[in-house]
Amino acid sequence: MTVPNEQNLLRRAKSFDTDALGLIYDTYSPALYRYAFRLLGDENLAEDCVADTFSRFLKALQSRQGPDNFMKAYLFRIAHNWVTDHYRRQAPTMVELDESLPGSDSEKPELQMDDRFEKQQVRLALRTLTPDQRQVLILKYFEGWQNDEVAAALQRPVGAVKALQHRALETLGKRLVDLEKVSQQ
Amino acid sequence: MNPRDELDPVIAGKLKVLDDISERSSQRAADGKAAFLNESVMLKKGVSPEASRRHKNWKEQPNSNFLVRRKELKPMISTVTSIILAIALLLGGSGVTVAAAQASVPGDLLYDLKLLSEDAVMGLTADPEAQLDLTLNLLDRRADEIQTLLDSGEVITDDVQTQYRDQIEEAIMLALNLPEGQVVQAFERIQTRLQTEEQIMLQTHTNGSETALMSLTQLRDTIQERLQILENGQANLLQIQEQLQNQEQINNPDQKSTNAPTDAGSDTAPGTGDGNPWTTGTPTPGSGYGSGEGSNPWTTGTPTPGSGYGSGEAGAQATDMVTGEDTAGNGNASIGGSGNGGNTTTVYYYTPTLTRTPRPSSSGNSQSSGNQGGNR
Repeated sequence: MTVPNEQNLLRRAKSFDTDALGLIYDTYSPALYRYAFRLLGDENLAEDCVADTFSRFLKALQSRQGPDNFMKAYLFRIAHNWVTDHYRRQAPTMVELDESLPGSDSEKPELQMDDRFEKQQVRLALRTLTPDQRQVLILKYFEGWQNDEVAAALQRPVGAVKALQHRALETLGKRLVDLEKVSQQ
Repeated sequence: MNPRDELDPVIAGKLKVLDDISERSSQRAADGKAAFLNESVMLKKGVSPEASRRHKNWKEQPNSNFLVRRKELKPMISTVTSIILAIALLLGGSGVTVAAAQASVPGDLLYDLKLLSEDAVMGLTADPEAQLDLTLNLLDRRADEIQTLLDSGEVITDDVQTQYRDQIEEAIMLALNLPEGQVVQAFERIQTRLQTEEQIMLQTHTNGSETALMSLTQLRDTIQERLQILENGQANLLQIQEQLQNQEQINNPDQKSTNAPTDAGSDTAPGTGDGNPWTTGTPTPGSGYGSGEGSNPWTTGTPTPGSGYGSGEAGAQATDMVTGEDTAGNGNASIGGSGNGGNTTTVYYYTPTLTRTPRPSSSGNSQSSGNQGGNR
């Protein structure tokens, strides 16, 4: 999603105009939440990521180091760094049985466990990629960004983004096969 | 066109599982927005005056202009200045005395003053690298003092040896606290100093007495042990930190541990404390480390196999070592079996590792510290 007259909005945000900041939050926080949730698989962590992202954005504005354009790319870059830091701090966790799983007939606990396990595997495979590779895949194949937008978020040329995308897909394919083999053992 | 259409179907299928995102709670989204806007209001207000109005030795007056603005008559006295003044006053207000004390050696009247002034300087040094530099210089001082004593035919007391050893250990501790990338380099610096001092001591002549010769040998042993530790520590930085912590606890059992045994005889029973909250790894057979009932709060990392330290189960092992049987076949199992029956003074005999003791007073007696006799 792009905001009409983003530069004007940014200019108002830099003077801490509450309406402009509110609009920025409403516009970008849902996508940032989705982004964080996909990678982290946890609502609370995703909310933390969103909150920290916007807090860092404010601090950047205050110190006059905020973006002059590409606000969306800027915010996603902050969120991306947050997730990367989180990965460094936190070891991958295993899927745990949860007694609170709902027991409806349509979604039996064992099916839900399979679903969770599968998601965990994909997240794990994504986690083994380099941060930039992961960013490219998520922004392009989940958020539907164009290459030039991804390039802005990564602050890399479009050609580099394509190369990253190629390597990311290659590595991801291998990792998924490896994880599949391990889970079948 | 969906970008995923161009993907390998297997990968596309796998990625699809992450499309399912649990819906964001509208309440949490609203809370998040409110917090964000609150923060923006706080940041907008700012917490300090703009740079041009900050205090910079200029006195701000309500109606001040360029002509009446003047520099403060009495600049604020900094904390550091206050400390320096306080020390100077405590020492009788005479810098001359302190300067004179710098040439003193252990046993002199002014030697305590010299140590005090060193502590004060160290206390005023905040930068870790500068602290290490200072400590290395103090290490050289201690070595020079020993040389002076030996040259004048005096005996090196246990206190002097302890001071020297403590200075080495302080340097090692400071090196360990440096940023990760600088630790190895700092270790190398300490090693170089110690090697130089070892060479000097090898060429030192004593008054020929057996006591002096023994003191010198002990000093050389101390240096060699520390050099060995530094060498090993470079390969395993974590291990050296554990050794320091363990040894510190042995030397100062009353400072931190409420589980310190009051009776050496109780060592014969395994610890019965609350377990070892710091070691969660898998015990290594024969290492004396395990998750027994003893409480050893002084081990922060995974024990080295064969080192024998750990929690309760090794208490009996420690007893064996005290009696010289060393059932595990590893003489360095000094801290095994902590908890209520754990850290004992008797196991010092088996600990040729780092020790830290309070800096003794030169005017005090020359009583050997607990480990002092044990190590030798």
